[in-house]
Order: sequence, then C-alpha cells, then structure tokens
Amino acid sequence: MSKTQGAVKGKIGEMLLNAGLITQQQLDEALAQQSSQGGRLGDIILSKGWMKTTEFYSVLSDHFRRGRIGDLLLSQDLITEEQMAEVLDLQHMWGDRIGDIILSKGWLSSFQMAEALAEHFDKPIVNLLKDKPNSKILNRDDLSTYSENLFVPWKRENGLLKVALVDVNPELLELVDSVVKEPFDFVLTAKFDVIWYLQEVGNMFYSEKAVHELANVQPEYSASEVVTPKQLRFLFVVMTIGMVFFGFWPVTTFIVIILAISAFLMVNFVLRMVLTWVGGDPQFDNTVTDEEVAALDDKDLPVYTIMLPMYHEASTLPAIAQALRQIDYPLSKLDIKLILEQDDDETIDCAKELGLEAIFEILRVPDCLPKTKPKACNYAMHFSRGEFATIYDGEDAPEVDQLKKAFVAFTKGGRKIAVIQARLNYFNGKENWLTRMFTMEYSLWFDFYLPALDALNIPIPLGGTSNHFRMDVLREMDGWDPYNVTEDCDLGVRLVQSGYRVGVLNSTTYEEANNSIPNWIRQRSRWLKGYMQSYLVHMRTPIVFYHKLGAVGFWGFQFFIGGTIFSALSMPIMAAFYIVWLLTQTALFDPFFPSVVLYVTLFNLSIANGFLIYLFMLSGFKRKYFDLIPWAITVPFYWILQSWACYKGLWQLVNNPFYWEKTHHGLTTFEVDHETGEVSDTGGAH
Amino acid sequence: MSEVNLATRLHKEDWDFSHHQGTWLLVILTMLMIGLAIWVLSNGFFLESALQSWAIVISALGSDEVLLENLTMLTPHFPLYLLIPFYYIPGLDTGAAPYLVSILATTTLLWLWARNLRDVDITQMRLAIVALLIVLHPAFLWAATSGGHISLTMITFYLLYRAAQHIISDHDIHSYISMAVVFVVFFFIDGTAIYIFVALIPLIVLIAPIRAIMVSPLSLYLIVGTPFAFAIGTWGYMNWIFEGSFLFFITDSESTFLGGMLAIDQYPWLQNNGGQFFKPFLIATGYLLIAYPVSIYLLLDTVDDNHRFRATFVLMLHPLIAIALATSQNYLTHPFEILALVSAGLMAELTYVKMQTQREFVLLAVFLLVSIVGGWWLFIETASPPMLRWVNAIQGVDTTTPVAKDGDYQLGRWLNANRLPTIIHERSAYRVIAARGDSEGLLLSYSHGFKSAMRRRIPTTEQIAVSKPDTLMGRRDLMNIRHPHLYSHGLEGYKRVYDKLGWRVYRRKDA
Repeated sequence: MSKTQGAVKGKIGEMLLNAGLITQQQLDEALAQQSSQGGRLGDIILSKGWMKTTEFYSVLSDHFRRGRIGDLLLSQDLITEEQMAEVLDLQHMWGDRIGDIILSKGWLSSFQMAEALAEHFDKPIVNLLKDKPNSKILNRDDLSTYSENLFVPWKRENGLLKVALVDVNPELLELVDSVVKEPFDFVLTAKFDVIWYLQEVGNMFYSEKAVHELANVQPEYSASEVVTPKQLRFLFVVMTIGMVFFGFWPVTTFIVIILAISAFLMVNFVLRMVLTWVGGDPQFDNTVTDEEVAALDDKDLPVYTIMLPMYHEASTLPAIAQALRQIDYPLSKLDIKLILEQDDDETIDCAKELGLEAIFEILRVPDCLPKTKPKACNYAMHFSRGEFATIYDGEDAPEVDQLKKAFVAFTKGGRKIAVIQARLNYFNGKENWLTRMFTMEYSLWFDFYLPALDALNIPIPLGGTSNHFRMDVLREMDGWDPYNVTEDCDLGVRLVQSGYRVGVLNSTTYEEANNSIPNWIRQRSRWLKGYMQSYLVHMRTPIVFYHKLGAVGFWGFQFFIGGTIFSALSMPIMAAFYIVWLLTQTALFDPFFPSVVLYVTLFNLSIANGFLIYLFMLSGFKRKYFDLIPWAITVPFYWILQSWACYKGLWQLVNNPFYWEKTHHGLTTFEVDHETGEVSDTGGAH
Repeated sequence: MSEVNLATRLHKEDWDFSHHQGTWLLVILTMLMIGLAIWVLSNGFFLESALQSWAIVISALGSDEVLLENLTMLTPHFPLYLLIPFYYIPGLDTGAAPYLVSILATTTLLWLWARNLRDVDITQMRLAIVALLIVLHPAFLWAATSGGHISLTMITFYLLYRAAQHIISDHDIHSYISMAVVFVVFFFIDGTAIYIFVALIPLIVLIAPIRAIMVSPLSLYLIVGTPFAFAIGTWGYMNWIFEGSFLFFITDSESTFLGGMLAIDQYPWLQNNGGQFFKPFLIATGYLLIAYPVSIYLLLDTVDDNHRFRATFVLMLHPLIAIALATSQNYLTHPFEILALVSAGLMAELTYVKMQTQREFVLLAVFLLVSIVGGWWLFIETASPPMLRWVNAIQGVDTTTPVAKDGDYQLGRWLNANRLPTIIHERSAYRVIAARGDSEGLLLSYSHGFKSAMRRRIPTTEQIAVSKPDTLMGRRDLMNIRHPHLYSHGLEGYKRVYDKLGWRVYRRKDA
C-alpha cells in the first residue's frame, strides 16, 4: 500500500508541475511537509491554497479515477450485464451520466452508488447521519446553496476543509469553491444523507424562509396583512358616503347600486364571451405540436423538478408515482420531491414502504403555521435542482409528454416566459352531477379562458397544479405567498407585474373532480377566499398596478378575478329580488327598477345567463364530452353552490384568513390506469 | 422565390376592397344603389313595412318616456334599433331612414364579402365584374333599395352560410359559435329565422363531420340550437313582462311574426300553396333554377370536392326547404322573401371558387349573367304588389298615390300643423305618424295619457283622432272599441275639427 502511495505521490507532483499549477519550489515544500508531518501530498498542496480544487482535479481526475464506473459496478455485481447494456443505451439517448440513470432505475440505492463513486474516485465515503458534519463550519446563509446542489462542508482535517459531495463534476467543484471560499477537498456521501442532514440542521432556516421570505423582501405582495390601513380608510369613506346618500336619497342610491351591479355583471358576461371566442381559436390547441416534441433531443433536456405536496394522501401515492414513471422524459433528469408534512406519518410510512427510486426524494416540512401548500412548496424550493419545476397533486394524471411540451414552450417563448400553465381536467367527469359541472367549468376555464387571457395579456390566475416554472425566476419572485390560499393565482399576477409572461400549454393533467358537495364547498371557499386575498393584495396601490399592467391587463384583472368574486356574491341578491317578484308579483320593487335598470337586468337574466349556460355546453363540446352537454342546462344550480362557497370564503377571510381548507382526495370510485390512460369506474357510477 | 411572393402579395392587394381601388369600387356600387333608391322613391315607391318600422321608431322615441316596450313586441327589434340613430339626424324625418339602412346593410355585406375573398386570388377587374353581376340581380337590388330588412337578413344568411362552410372544412369551435350566434341575431331581425333554423336541422348531417354525428347527434343540435332557443325564450319572456303573455308575439293578429297567416287572401302565393309542403318546394325549386342557375353550375363544378359540394348542396337545398316550411305554415307571403337569400349564400360560396383561371371565371360570369336575366324575368312575372310597384318605379312609372287621396298623409300633415295633445292609436295610424314626422304631443296607446283617457267615460285630452270604424284599421282602433260611436257622433264636450278621407278629429270645446 505504501509502495503504491509512494509511486502516486511522485506522479501527482510531476503532473501538477507539468501543468504549471505549482512550481518546483512549492512541490519541494509540500514533499518536505509530507515527509515531516505525514498526510497525502494532494491534501497538502490543496491546503496551501496554491491552486483551486477544480484546477487540481482537472489535472488529476483521471489519475484518481479507477477505471470506468460501469465496469466497477459490474465487477462488484451491483448490476447485471443486461442492466448495463440498457444503461448504455439510455445514456446514448438521454446524454446523462451512468450513475444517474442507474439511480433513476432504482437498481442501486443512493448509498450504494455513493460507495461505488467513492471507490471510483478513491475517496472516503461518509455517512452524515452517523459521522455528522461540524455544524460550526456551516454558513447559515449558504444552506439553500447546499441543499440545491447537494453538498455540505463536512470537517476540517489537517487544516483542509473536507466537503461532502454526492457527485463529482467540475461545475460542482467550481461552485463549492466559490461558496466555501477556501481550499478544500471532497469526500463522498449519499444524496439522502445530505438532504436529511440539512433538513435536520436547517429546519428553522428553511421554515423561516418558506414562511417569511416574501413578507420580508416584498411585503407589498404578502397577504399576511389582509387589509391595509389605507384600504380600511377607503372602505370607511365609501361606506360613509354610501350611508349619507342612502339617508338623503334612498331610492336613487338603491337604483345606482342595482345599476352598477347589473352593469358590472353585463361587462363580466361580455368579457367571458370575448375570452371564449379568443380562446376557442384552434391555434391554442397546437401551441406545441407533436412534431416539435418528436424533434427534441433528450440529450438537450434539462433537469426538471416535480413537486408533489401531499398531506394525508397515502392512498394516492402509488398511483402518482406510477404516473410520473410513465412520463416521457429521461427519468434520470427528473428531480421529484415528495413534500410531506412532518406529522403525516401515514404518507411518510407509505412512501418508505414503496421503496421508491432515488429520483423520488421525501422532504418533511416542519410543523409550523401557516400550514399551507405554498409554504410546503417554498420549503421544497430550497432542495430543488431543476432548471424548470412543476407542481402536481397526488391524484394527478398528467399527459405523458407534458414536460417535454413545457420545455418546447419555454424555448419558443424566450426568457420572458416565466411560467406555463398546462390544462387541467377531470378523469371522473361522469361520476355524478357535481363532477359533470366541475368538469365543464374546468374545460371552459383552461381550454378557453386561460389561452385567451394569455393572448390578451391579461394576468392569468394559475391553477393549483401543472404550472411549469423557470426555477430561477421562481426564486427571484421569492416563491409563493404562504399566507395566500390561492398562491398560484397571486403568483401569476405578480409575475406579470414583474414584466414576465405567463403562457399556456396544450397538454392536460387529469385530476379527480370533487364528487361531494361539502368537500367541494370547502375547496371552492378556499379558492374564492384566495381570490379575495389576491384582489386585496394587488389593489393596495391600484394606480401603480394599472401602470404595471396597462389598461387591458388592469381591467381584465378587475373583471376576471374581481368579476368571479363579485358575480358569486351578487348572484343571490339579484336572484332573491327576482324570485320574490316572480312569486308575489309585488310592485314594491318597481321604484328601484326604472326602465334602464330593468333592461340591463333583463338582458343579464335571459341573454347573459343563457349564453353562460351555452359556454358550459361549448366546453363539453370542445373536449368531446358529449354526454355532459345536456347537463349544462342545470348550471344555475352550480352557481348557487358557487355563491354559497363565496360567502363562506368571505366569512373566513374576516375570521380565519390563512386557514387552508383541505380538500379530501381519493373519494372517487373512478380510476386511471397510468399505463394505458384508460379510466374505469370501480364502484359503479351514479 | 421572393419575387414570386412579392408578386403574389401585390396581386392579392390588388383585389381587396380595403385597397384604394377596391374602396372606389365599393363606393361606386354604393352610389349606384343610393341612386337607384332615390330614383324609385322619387317615382313614388315606398314599402309599407318600412314605413311602419319608421313610424314605430318615431312613435317610441317621441313619447315622454322612451321605453323599449314601446317598439312593440310584435316585430323583431334589431332593424328598429338600427333606425334609432337616424331619428336624431336632421332631414331624415321624411322616412328615408329605412332605405338608407338597407343600402348600408348591403354595402356592409359587400365589404364583408370582399374581406372573405382574400383566399381567392382574382384581379381588380374580375372582382368588379363579379361584384357588379351580384349587385345587378333583382333579389340583391330589391333587398338593397326597397327599405325592408331583407338586406339585414342577407348579412345574417351570409354569415350563417360562412359558418356552415367552416364547419364543413374546419370543424372548429368558432364556426359552431358563429352559427349559433348568427341564429340568435337572425331571430331578432326577421321572423323567417325560425323556418331557416328548422330547415337546417336535417341538413346538419351534411354539414357536421360524420364521426361527430355518429357519436352524438344530440350534442350537435344542442350546440347549434341552444342559443336560438334561448333567444325565442327571451323574446317570450319579454312578451310576458311587457304584454302579460309569453305568446303575445304569435297570438296578436298584428304580429309580423305571423307573416301572412291571418291574411292569406291577400297573397296569391299563400292562396295557391299555403298549408302545403311539397308543392311549394317543387315550385321554389323551379324558381331557384330560373333565378339562380349559377347554383347548378357551382354544384357541378364542385362535384369532385367533397367539402365544397356539400356546402353548395346545402346552399341549394336549405332555402327550398325553408320556403316549403314557411309556406306550409302560411307564413311566407312571397317566395322571394327567402329565395333572395340565395344571393348572400352565393356570395359566400364564391369565396371558395378559384376564379383566377380564365375558363372558370368566364363560365361563372356567364352563369351569373344568365341568373340576372332569369331573376329579373321571374321577379317581374311573380311580383307581389309592392315588388311590382318597385319594378314600375325603376322603369320610371310614377306610382305615387295622389296626395289629395291619401287620408293618412292628409291627417299627418294636418296634425303637424295643429300640434295639440292628441289621442291616436298608433297601430291604425302609423302612416299618419310617419307623415307627421314625429310623435311629440301624441298620446299613443302605451302612454299614461292614453291609458288614463281609456279609463274615463269622457276623456279630457285636447284632441282625439279616430279612423272610420268600418275599415280594417278602424275596427282595430282602440278609440273605436272604447267609444263605438265616437267617429259618427263625437263625444260630449268635443267638437269636430277635421273630417277627411276616413279620419275625424275631435277637439275639446274649451281647448
């Protein structure tokens, strides 16, 4: 052993000398130190700081490397010949590294792979959970960099900093060098050791960032303050003026209010008609073509992070894991985060039992308030390594080419495209009346409205899942607002204000439609409460907001986001007037409905509502959900539910603004086969 | 390659109406139609329905409270809305507005057509020839200059047919929405919309893709028909709100939605064919072949092109079925009310015809020319009284009723000179109101003054105008119904101040 080492030592010195990285004098000094104090020549040279670690290994990496990693794994019987052949084929297609491909296949654990790498690079392997790093050498401000790039300063040995790496490549060494800012050498460790260790020591840091980063850095966009003092003063003034007017001119004031509501609803209807027409353009069904996807070279695809925030959803975990395995994207370039709450033992245990491949990483989000999905995603953002990222829910079934389509869309859209929203739809649309309504509503929303908003440069309220982000922009925006219960809607508006574009994608993720009215009310009340939060946040400084968005964007926001809230709130009032009048034929209301008001309300009641029903039909027609079309006639009952949920959301906005009404998933009897894409009813449809 | 592109681009720019030469062509055609309208009007032609529409508008706008319901629920509202702006233009109180609207509508149709012609690469000269051949067809000229709302109907039919073409060729959602929305608008323009709609129902199988029909025919009908059903429902609802009955617009004897149903004896077409389906269908087919032989040419020309053949076939069949249906219900007073729409359909069809080849263009021009000849012959041979007066007016024959013999006109002018508050029932006096030029000071049936007067035994209004009760109009006059002896004996406290050609006016003695 010592003989071999002696031979190596001599060669290292010569090689560095030949590369011009050290002088003869420095080599002599290092050799002298080695002979007097012992230790490895490389460590001594690195500790002197004569060169960067990257430079050192750029010359010596072949020197340390023992053969090829594949041969090493074969020789140790860690993989079979067949597996190796498959790996080589995949490497040829994906352009990724053998180790990553093997891990993505689940043939080796991350620790086994780390052991193999350590042997390959002739470096020690450390188990960070047993042989913990010296926490004093960690820089708190760099925790995110550690977790995003999977390294952690481990210990100082003989004055040289040892950094535990999961992988070895020049870019990473360069990054480590720039972060630690001192001479270092590396040891190898397993990916999960780094993640678990950093979660253990950095929980407070990550949680603090996840909860307060936006409020600290951009407080004007944080919903942590529901209504600002300015807004309260404005509300007070408006209400006071209103009361004065009511006192002096009650009938006229009432007429003006009714007329204002009716006119708003009319414009809201016109906007929805325009959006349906614009969004119905066939070009939006081909924003990314199959040919463009086919022309992609897998080698060019970047690492893609998939965030899966889940809470008490153990039952859906196997299905979504299977769905993600089916995705048409190099598995080794997927960085899948199972974001689980610390107290959710059931889902954590399930994830462990499944023995998922190393591309699935379990992140346990510490138990702190607000307990919301955006907070969990913010937390996960610190561990994400993808150039792009997307979010899926536990019950989602994305179309297999979605990630590739998103990548093409990002490439075509240029740097200004910060996020791309894929279409959402439901696989259990035919389950019962509620799922039918929900499915048509979603089809209308994602297949018509959102593409039109994109085309008209109106801020797009992102959907809860299947939104694909540029990770650097997401970080620049400080992630999601954890206090906003429709953080996605808010983020879309913020992005547009920052000069980015929000695009849409012609790829669908199928979800589970809520099939129970109480559950639906919970979900919808949260959404509408979140819309109210978003509206209040962005209308804190309406003039600034107007200047950032322009007239179309500003008014589009008023009528699309504001209109959704307002129409849901006003519908019961107008309907109550109408029903009372219809049943009693009373002349009591006559003074409040002069001819102009009567005509506008008549228009809204008949033409506008008729066409809004028709829009539901169109959504079913476009999706070829022909069975749903006749059901569209019952949509007014769905609007009643919507209003109910809206009032509940308003109540919560006042009393419990940050409470996240959890939607229960897994209630459907329908199932999607992720391999064939077929939907089956396992419990008998209603 | 770039030269070819440039040449194509220049060539394309050459034909467009938006191009300055094209604009001139549109202006010339519009001037031609305006000239013709002035000519026929100066020769005494007027259309009763145009006069009635104008009277409704000036009655409603001249009342103390301008209300939608005063436009009555008995006639589609959209053409009336278009007349409203003209009420406020000085100099148009003579009733020329309906004719102006007709011309503007046909100009709009030509402009739309030219826009859609972009896909057909033809020269300016050829465009001018084809446009002229379209315009010179009697159906087109009648629509443009007669002051009725056929010109508006033609626009909707053009858009309807374009939508059908798009469904056939593209099957995109826009075309379905277009078709549905066009039907809604159609209903508020013309009562024939219901027949046009029903006639299209069996033809949907030719328009929509076969796979969609096989999977869910119901959904196709719902997508095309639901807005139309809502439009009818809305109209019924408005009738209930304002008139107390959902079916008022099809139960009131004066409703235009009934067409010729209650006056069959006035219309030879209904006398001969009313209540039947196949006979009018066959006759209409003959009319089509005479007035539009060009449609046969297009049918033969497209026989190798499945999409276009289906569209042309629908264009031929659809109006015929609609004519037969409307006749079977005793609605249609003359086949040209629907047959004229073929001109619009033809224009839509031409946006798909490749007219750049010499042979194709010449053949088309010849067939269009033959269509003009056949059309004029048929138009004259089968003309209804107003059509005949229009033809005579074109020929320079003065069709003016002598002013001295026109009782409505005389009363209108008298009321204009004696502008006291006057009770008059506008449904029997629309021509009087049109002749007066406005309705200021008139107490019409929907005014509080009129209703109050009807409740009293003796009205207190300064003047009462009443028509002779033994005429058709007189029988419907509400004043005659309320005071059966008013015309002959007057009322207590009133003196007769006017008595001429079937009208009498009584004035309060102390007024």
